[in-house]
Amino acid sequence: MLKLKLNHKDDLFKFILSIFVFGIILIFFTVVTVILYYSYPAVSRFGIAFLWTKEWNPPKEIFGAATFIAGTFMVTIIALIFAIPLSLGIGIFLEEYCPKFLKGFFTIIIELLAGIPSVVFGVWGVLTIVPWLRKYIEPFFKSHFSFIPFLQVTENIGYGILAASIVVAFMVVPIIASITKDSLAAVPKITKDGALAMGATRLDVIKDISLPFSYRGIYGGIILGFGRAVGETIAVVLLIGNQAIIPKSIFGVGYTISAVLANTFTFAVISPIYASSEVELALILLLVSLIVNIIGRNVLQKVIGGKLSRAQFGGG
Amino acid sequence: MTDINKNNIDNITENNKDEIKIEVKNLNFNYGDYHLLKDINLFFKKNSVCTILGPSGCGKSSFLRTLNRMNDYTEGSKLTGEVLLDGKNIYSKSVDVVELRRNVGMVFQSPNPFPKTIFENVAFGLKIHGIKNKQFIEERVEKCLKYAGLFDEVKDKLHKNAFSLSGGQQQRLCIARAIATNPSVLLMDEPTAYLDPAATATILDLIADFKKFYTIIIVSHNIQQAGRISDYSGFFLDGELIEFSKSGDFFTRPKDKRTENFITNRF
Amino acid sequence: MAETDNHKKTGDPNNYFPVNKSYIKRKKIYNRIAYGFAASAFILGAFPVFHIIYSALIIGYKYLNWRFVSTLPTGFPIGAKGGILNAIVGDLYLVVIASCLAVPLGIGSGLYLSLFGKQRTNSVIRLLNELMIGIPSVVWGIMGFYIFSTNAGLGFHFGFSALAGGLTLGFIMTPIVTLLTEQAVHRIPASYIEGALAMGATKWQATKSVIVKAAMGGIFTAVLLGVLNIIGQTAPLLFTNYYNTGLPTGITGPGGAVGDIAMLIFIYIHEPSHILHYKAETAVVVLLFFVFALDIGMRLISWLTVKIFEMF
Repeated sequence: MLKLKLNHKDDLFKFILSIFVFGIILIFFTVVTVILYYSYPAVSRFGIAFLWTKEWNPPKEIFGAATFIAGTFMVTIIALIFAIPLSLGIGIFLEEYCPKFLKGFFTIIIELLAGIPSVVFGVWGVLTIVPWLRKYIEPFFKSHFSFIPFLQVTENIGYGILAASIVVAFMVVPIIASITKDSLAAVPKITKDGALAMGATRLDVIKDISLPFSYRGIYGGIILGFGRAVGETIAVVLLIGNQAIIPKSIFGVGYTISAVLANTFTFAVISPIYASSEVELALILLLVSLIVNIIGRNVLQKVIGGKLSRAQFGGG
Repeated sequence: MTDINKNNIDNITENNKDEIKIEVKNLNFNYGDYHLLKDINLFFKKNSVCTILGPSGCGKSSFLRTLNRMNDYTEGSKLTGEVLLDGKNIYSKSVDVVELRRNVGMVFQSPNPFPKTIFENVAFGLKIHGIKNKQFIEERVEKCLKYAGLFDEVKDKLHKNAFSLSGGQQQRLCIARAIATNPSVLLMDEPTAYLDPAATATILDLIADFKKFYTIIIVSHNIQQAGRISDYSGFFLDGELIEFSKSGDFFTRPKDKRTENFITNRF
Repeated sequence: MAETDNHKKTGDPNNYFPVNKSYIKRKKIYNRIAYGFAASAFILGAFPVFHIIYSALIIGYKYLNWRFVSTLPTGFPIGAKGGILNAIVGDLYLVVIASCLAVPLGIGSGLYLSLFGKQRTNSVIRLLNELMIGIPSVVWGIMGFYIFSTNAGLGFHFGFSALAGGLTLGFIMTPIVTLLTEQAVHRIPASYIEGALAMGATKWQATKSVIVKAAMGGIFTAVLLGVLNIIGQTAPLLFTNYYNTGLPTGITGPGGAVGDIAMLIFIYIHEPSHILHYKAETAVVVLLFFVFALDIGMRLISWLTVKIFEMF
């Protein structure tokens, strides 16, 4: 594998460092191998139908992920619907409108949001968002908008898809916002100046120069935000209601892949096929995260190079 | 008015003050603790070409940016004095910056086309000033590209990305873009700094040609160029206007020792 | 604007330019509106930061005292009385164990990437690291269970313990330290390293004498950001360590499990007990204190590093 030539100090140094690099590669392949190995019994037993089977019945040993995929998908999409405009606004504000002497401070605030642990977001959701939804939003929708599909309120409890989505939205905002900001910052100043010198307003510059220049980076940010939202666990467990039903409304309760893993994996290990099915759920998360990050990374590489934003390192 | 301006080299009086396009009065510009422009006074006559010379960092680019208020975006800066364009102070509250910049076009150091097609680049100024008449836009784009001597080269690829052009072509595109809104003043910040000699010559010919329509103010560090194309030349050093005179006098009989040193390349 | 006035203000008389004053007025208003939207987006985005701190403090200030951080949880339900010492000690265990794995691995790999790697190998390893940062933490937890915790089949059979939890967190922390170490070395002016190499130093000597000193701030930042990330993690611990209301008696096997602030909050908030909810909010104050202290410390270090570079 490695050709050893220990007659030179640098070769020894390089050899030692390459052991560490080997460690990194080992970690990556460990996680992939473990998930593949332990999900194999379920994959071979249920096949591809696992993805659209709705029933999840441990005593009967019937396992299908459709309910959880639907829940995950709903939470992710609704969270992004909130997070995308908010993040674009924040990115544009910080890069284009914000007075320079405040920019650094304001950026730190958004990065602090990225550092707040998931469980803290969960507690905030339980003690702030859920009561707010229960007291104000759900009654309002119940009396005014109950005729619109997806917006019916059946149980007025506050917990559910919407509560989870709102909190997850705030968790992905720093990622999308800071990548948007970095992409906008990569637009050459002289080009923006060129437009301003012709009588363009800031809005003209944003619309006609900055966004056309940087839209790829913003896509990349959204893709990474999607990846983060799909895997979000602890805050969602606390907020989604944890019932294995496909919600018919954004106010309904549901279950996501990550939430079912957090809640039931430790019980599942008593039955091999049950455990294996749960690991197959994790396999779905793993594959989605790998695909999403490969795409997002490639898109971002072209716009802002290999620059990593502070927000990407998150806070658990 | 005439008393204030120590650089009254054309004997401007109350009677012929219509010949003045821009008058700069007691202009001071501070950035933080740094005094960037120190009490600048001068005239720019209509339909003349004027070159501002000086070593880098002398404030000549900052001066140019005060003429279309691009310095508005420099936070922590302070400006006193007046810049009168057609007799009106561009720093007075009633002035519409958008209209001012339509009237005072600017060409930058390095070509800065927008990430759009060639056509859209030239049409940009029209679009942001609210012109929607398609025929008008097409005619104007063609005309401006012709003025800039670019039309024949790009007429088959008007809808290709502007970045596909060469550096010299891009700079001429930027000139076409700047004149599309029909300004009366053109500011040029070292427009040939990054161009090869052939492209530079083309641009200089354009400038000489444009004199009949526009008042042109060029910032440059290139003494030979300035001598060739400009009617007036000014010399900036450390934020001060050392000398401002007709190019003939400026290059043959400089009044100030420092100007002489500069034009004989002792800087 | 009068027609004559307009004529005066345009250069080429053949190129009449119709000034559309009402359009310009409108577009300035649109610009103001866009400003308003962008600023409100920022305010809405910044709101949770302040509201999370505020809502934790407003409850936390009643319970937060020296006793809270220095005593073990007691009472019924457990935690109703006493403090969170178990969790603070547990976090210390976890951070130390994770760092033992992630710090050498991350710094070593980061140095390799910036000193020796070829273009091709580097991009592959960087890709793996960035992918690992994207893997959901609950997936890491499942991996940790099968590798470290499970008592059946393959694996190390550490049980639900600090060692299993800490190593799983170490896996999460490693790519963070690697990528940031590499960036830190990259930020050193090339002339520093080349200067040392030109004088005949080997890369090892250059690393010892120049790089480690110059990149120290950046590498420290990398480790702090890694720690910041893992002290907030809950999901990976669910299957590798879970929770201990007391102090650990070892780091593996029975009695090897430790408490953890994030896990304590997670468990308390699940309980239908107001007192535990209040304690959870108080623990949030403590957790946020650690998170923000690390964050600020990190910024201070990188700010100081930049200042020191400017001095030379």
